[in-house]
Amino acid sequence: MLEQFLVGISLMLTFKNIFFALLGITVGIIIGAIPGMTATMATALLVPLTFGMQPIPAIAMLLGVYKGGIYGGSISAILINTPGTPAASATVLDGYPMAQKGQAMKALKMALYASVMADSMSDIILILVAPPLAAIALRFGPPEVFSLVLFALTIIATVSGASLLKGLIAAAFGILFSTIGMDPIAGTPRFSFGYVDMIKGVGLIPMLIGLFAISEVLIQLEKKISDEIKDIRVKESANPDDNRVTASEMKRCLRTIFRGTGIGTFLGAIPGIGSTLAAFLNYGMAQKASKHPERFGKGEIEGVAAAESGNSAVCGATLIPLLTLGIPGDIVTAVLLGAFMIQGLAPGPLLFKEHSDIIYALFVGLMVCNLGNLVIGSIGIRFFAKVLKVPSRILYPLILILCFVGTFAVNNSLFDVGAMFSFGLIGYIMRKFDYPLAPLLIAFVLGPMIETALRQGLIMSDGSFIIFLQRPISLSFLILTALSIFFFTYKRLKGK
Amino acid sequence: MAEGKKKILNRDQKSGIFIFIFSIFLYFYLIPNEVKGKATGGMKPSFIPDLLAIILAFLSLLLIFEPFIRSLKTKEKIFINEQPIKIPSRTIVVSAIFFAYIFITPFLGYLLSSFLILAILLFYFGNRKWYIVIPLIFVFPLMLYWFFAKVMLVLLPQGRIFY
Repeated sequence: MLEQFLVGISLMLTFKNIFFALLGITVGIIIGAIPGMTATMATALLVPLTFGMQPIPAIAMLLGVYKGGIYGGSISAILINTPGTPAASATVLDGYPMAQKGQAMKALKMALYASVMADSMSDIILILVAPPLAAIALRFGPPEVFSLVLFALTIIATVSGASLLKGLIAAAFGILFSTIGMDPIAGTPRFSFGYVDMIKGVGLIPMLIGLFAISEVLIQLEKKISDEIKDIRVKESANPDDNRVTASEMKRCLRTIFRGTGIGTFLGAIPGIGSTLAAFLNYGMAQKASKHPERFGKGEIEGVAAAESGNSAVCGATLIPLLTLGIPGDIVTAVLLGAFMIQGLAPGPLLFKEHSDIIYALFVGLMVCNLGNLVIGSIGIRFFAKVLKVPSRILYPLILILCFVGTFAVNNSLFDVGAMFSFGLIGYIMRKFDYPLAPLLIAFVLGPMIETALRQGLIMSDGSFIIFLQRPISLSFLILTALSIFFFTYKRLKGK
Repeated sequence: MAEGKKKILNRDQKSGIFIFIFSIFLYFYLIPNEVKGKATGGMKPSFIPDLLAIILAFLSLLLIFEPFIRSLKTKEKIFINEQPIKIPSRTIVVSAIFFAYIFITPFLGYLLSSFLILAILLFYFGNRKWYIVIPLIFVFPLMLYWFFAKVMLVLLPQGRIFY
C-alpha cells in the first residue's frame, strides 16, 4: 500500500494537477456560496469541461468542486441567512445569529476548520477502508452484483424523498431510461424509434445537466428575481476574539467535530442518505450533549462546527461505494461516475486492480483538495462573500448558455442538447410533483449494471432464479432488501 | 385532517393516474413495437422493460389508492388542501427561448445564436444596464468558444452562415 501511495504522490503532485484541484475548489466555493446554485449543479456543469483533460487533473478538479461547494454553502448561510446548498441548512441555525452579533468572521472560520477537519478524517477512513473492500468485491459474481445493486437501489429510493412510492417510481423510471439503446446481451435496439442517436442510448451528461442544472434554473425562475444588489460585507468586530476561533473554542468543538466525522462518514457510506441529514443529525446530537443546549440557535459556535463537520464528513465516505463497488451513493458521486466514464474508466473493484496508480493519485488528490480548501477558504473569505452580490438575472442566462455548450461538447451532438433540455423539463415537473431526482439518476446509472448482472446470472443457471438464493452473499443482500422495504414501509405507515 | 374544500383527486393521485396510463401504453404498445430480439439465457430483451411496466402500474395504483386506504384505516375522510400546480409564464418563455436556441443553432452557428439568445435572455430578465449587458453578450460566448474550440479542440456547432 505504501508503495502505491508513493506512486500516487508522484502522479498527483504536479503543478498542473494541483492547479486544477485549486481551480475546482475556487469554482466550488463560489458556486456553492450563491444561493440556488448547488455543489451538484457545479459538478454537473464542470464535467463537460473535463472532456479533453487527463484523468487525474479532471477528477481532482471535480473533487475540488465538490468539497469547495459543500463549504461554500456555509458562506451565504452565515452572511445572509440563506444556505447556498441544502447541506448548509443546519449551518444557518447558529451561523447567521453569530453574524448578527458581529462574529461573522469567527463563524466563517469555524465553518471552514470544521469542514476541512471532518472531511480529512473521512478521507483517511476512505483510504483505509476502500482497498480491502474492493478486494472483497472482486470476488463477487453476477448474482452477488445483482443483489447488491438491488439493495443499494432500494435504499436510495426509500430514503431519498418524503414518499416511499415516489422514490420507487423515480427509480423505476431511471432503469427504464437506461434500457433505451442497445440491449447489453442480445445487441438489439430498444426504444430507438428508428433514430440512430437513440440506438446509442441516453447519455449520462445530458441527463444530469438537464435534471440538476436546467430544472434548477427553471425552479429558481419561479422566485422573484431581485433588482437590488445587497451590500454584503464580512463585518469585522472591534474585539479581535470575535474575528477568530480561539484555542478554547476549538478545544470545546473538537468532540463535536469528531462526532460529526463519525456520523457523516457512516451516513455517507450508505447510498442515498446525503450530507443534509448528517448535518442535522450531528447538530441535534451536539445540542443534546452540550452543557448549554439553550445557546443553540442563538449563535453558538459549536452549532456551526456540528453542522459543517456533519455535512463535510459525507464527502469522503460517499466515495467508498463508488470506488469499491461502482455504486454512486448520491448525486455528486453519480456525476463523478460520469466523469470517470468520460475518461474511459469504470469505478469499481476492477479499477483498484487495473488502475491502482490513478486510485492512489486520487487519494492524494483528496488530501490536496482539503489543504487547498483550507488555504483558499482562509485567504478568500472576503472575496467569496462578494460573489453573493452577483444578481441571478445575469447568472441564469449564463448558466443556460453553459448548459448548451457543455452538453454539446461531450459528443458534438445537438441531439444530446435536446435530450438535456427534455430531462430539464422532466426534472422540473418531477420537482413540482415532489418526486425525488436522486433515485432517477442513480437508477439510470445502475440500470445497465443490474440488468447485465441479472441476465448473466440467469445464463449461469440456465434460466433459474434459484441461483440468487443459493449463494450466501447474494441471499444476504436480498434479505436486506426485503427487510429495508418492510422497515421503511412500516415506518412510513406508522408515521402517517 | 387538513381543513379546506373537498377535492376529488390530490396531486399524487393525478400523477399516479398519468403514470398508470403510461405504464399501460408502455406494456401494450411501446414494448411490443420498440423492443425486439430473441431470448438469450432464458431472458428476452423485453424482460426488464416488461417488468418495469408492471412495477410502474402497481406503484401508480398504490399512489392513486393510498388516500382511500389511509381513510379506511383511520375511518376519517382525508381531504387534502393543496395549492394547484402553476407553471409561471417566465418558465414557459425561458423554455421556449432555449428550445429556439437548439433549433436556430444549426442555421446561425454557435456564436451568432449564442449572442442572440443571450441578448434575449438578459433583456427578458430585466437587465437594462448596457455597459454590463453588451460586453457580456459577446464576451461570454466568445470565452466559451475559445475554451472549447481552441483549448479542448471540440468543434462547436457550425451554422450555414457563421461559426
